[in-house]
Amino acid sequence: MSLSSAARIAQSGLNTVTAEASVLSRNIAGSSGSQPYSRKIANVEATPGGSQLVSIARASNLAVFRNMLTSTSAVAAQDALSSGLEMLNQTVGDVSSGSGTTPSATSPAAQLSNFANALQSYQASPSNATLASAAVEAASSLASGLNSDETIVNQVRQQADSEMATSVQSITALLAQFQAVNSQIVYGTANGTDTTDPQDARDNILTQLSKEIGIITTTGANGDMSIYTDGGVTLFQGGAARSVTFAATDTYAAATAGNAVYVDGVPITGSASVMPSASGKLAGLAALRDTLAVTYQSQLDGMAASLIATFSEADQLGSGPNLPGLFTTAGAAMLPSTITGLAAQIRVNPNVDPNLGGNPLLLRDGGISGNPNYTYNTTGDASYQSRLSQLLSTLAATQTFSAAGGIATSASLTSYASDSLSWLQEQRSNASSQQTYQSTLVDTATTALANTTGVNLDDELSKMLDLERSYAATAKLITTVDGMFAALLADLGNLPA
Amino acid sequence: MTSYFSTQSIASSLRQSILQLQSELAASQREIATGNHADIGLTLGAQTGESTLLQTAKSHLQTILDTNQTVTVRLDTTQRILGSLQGSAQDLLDSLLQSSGSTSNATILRDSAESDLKGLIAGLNTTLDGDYIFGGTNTGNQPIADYYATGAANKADVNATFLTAFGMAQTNPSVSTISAASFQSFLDTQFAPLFLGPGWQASWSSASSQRRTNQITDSETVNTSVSANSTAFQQLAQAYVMIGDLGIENLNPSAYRTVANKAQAILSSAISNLTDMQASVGLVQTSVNGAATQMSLQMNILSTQIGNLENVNTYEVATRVADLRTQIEASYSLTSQLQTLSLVKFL
Repeated sequence: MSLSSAARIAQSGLNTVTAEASVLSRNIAGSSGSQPYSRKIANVEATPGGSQLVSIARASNLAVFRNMLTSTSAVAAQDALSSGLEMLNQTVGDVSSGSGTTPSATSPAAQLSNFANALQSYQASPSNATLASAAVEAASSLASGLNSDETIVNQVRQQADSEMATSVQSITALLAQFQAVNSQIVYGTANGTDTTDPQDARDNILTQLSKEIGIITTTGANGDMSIYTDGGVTLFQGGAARSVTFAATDTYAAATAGNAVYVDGVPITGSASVMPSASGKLAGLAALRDTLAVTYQSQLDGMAASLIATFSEADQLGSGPNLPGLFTTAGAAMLPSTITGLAAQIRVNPNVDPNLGGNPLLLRDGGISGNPNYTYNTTGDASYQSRLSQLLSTLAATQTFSAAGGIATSASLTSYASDSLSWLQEQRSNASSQQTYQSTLVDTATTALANTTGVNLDDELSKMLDLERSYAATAKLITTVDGMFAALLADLGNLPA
Repeated sequence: MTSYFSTQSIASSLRQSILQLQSELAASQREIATGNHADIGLTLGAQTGESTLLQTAKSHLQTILDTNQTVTVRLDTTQRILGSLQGSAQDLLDSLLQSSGSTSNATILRDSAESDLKGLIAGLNTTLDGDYIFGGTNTGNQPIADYYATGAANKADVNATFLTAFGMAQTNPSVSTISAASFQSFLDTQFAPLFLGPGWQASWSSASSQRRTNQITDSETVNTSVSANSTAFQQLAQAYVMIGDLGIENLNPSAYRTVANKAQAILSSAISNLTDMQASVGLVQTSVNGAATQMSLQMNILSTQIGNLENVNTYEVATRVADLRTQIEASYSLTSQLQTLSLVKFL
């Protein structure tokens, strides 16, 4: 032990305190940023040569972090689903009883009710041409309501499709950034340099990636991380990202099927996928585009088909085929053969529409198809009621609907329309409560993560006081040793020759 | 080891709770203003369809109530006309009975019958809003041909049949030579078919025998009109033409008595048929009135059920709004207080 070794120890102490102070200032500076920042911890070890800064670690909690990633993906999926459902809800408008016959009650159920009432009023006074026109008007509103409802469904699917394309682009960009940061970490770990900042950046990229698609991560000993989708498909491995591809579809009609997203050649969305992704925005959008919107479409088509069939006319004289009556498809002379897409095609027959030069009284007489064999009112009576009564009772009768609608298959048109309304509201309600639940989970996970890895300013500041004290003490020590050296040399100068 | 927490998480959790409370406050205020749930579809979920079905049922009942008003007017008019027809038939019957077969009042009776026939034709041809209410479902065409119009087919038929039977017109004074027996057989075999069965619809009536029906409640459909082809009207026409246009003022007393007796019988039958018709129309009127009350009650029940689904308890919501405001104010004050809690201020 010598004075010089004391000086050296003091000097190493100063270096250590300085290093700790720099870590502390990094913490204080980083905590005010908008990016998530994990607290850096300076590991100091006492050695025979003084103290030494061994390493800088970061505060982390892998379990909580993974929890947060999972909940972020879940929330993102629900958000995508919810906003799609809100757009679909435009087809419904206001469902309260105060809306009644006002234009804000635009659901098929409400417009069907208005039409049925108008037809009922007409049936009570079949000679009244004004009431006939009103009934045809109401039918027209119903048909054009179904038309615009299908347009909205197509728009929802279109928007989901383009958002999926955007999401895939984000994923590709994020994977490229991830690759750069990951190789930086591997290099730094091999060289023993401080990799805590790149690790923060890597975690941030993972958080953003988890919003787009659900992910699972594993870390190797050299700091290399691999990413897999929650369905098990490889996204990033061995330092290289796999390709994520998606072919967007520009326009959607009723029968259009959207393309799947392919990761590494494996489809992760759609019914053909064996390793589907279940969370993340992509999964939510795919469920919206391929399942929910298609089911709703099928319900609308079912209603249109039922209307066309109910109002079709039978051959009164011979055994010819049934022809379209009040409701028909654009420009067609025969009944439609397929149901898909009928909601966009259903129209009021121009032969009956007074706005197009038709005769609304044909609603009472029949023969709307133009063929006189299909006229029901053979006597030409002005108050002929049988056809109208028949139409009203068929409208109220139980009919069969396709199972693709996901609701009742045997119901009257009125209850089918209200079932469809219920179905959509139930989806909204479920998505909303799931969203609330998942949001709470995300909040809890984020708070837990922040509490484990975040920076507490008061804690840092009180550590700063400690460091200040320690630095002052070490500096005093050096001054004292210097004074001792000076005293020694001064005394040496005073030795006799 | 005490648990660690980050400074940022305190601020962000307060911030998020304030956002949450504010959006709840906005929704609650909307609920107070409308009295309904803020987003009915979201709140009711799968039950929204129930609410829609109730509204559909209620508006359907309202439609029936509205159409019943037209029906009521039609039934009232029909009843009024049936009443006046019955009155004039009864008067003629009384005069016939009083004259008891003497020819002294023949001219007066003939004139009465003529005006009664005009009344019958006018009554049966009544229109309401452009519809001939006695036309059955054929409301677009005038039901009864005007006997006194020039070239009327029904008058021509009567004239032709009389001419064929007796070789002279009714206005010929020589009708006094016609015997009672031959007149009786004429009335029974050649005159009656002009008014009953297919003869009625050949020259007299273009009405449809199909009566109009209307749905007066959710489940009841009833006949709401009377057809001009009803037996009572055929009999009235027969009786009136018999007295008014067969030249009774010139008949010999025995032939006259034959005609008078036959007319009395037909009129009695007609009046009893008219009474039956009035009774059945009256039943329908009662049903319609009862239906209005019944449907109003049903609509009230439906409104209550809809209200149960849609409405919020405004007192509860007002209390919630007060609570939310208190919570928001507490969050605000906490946020400002926490800002001052920093070691920096004390260094």
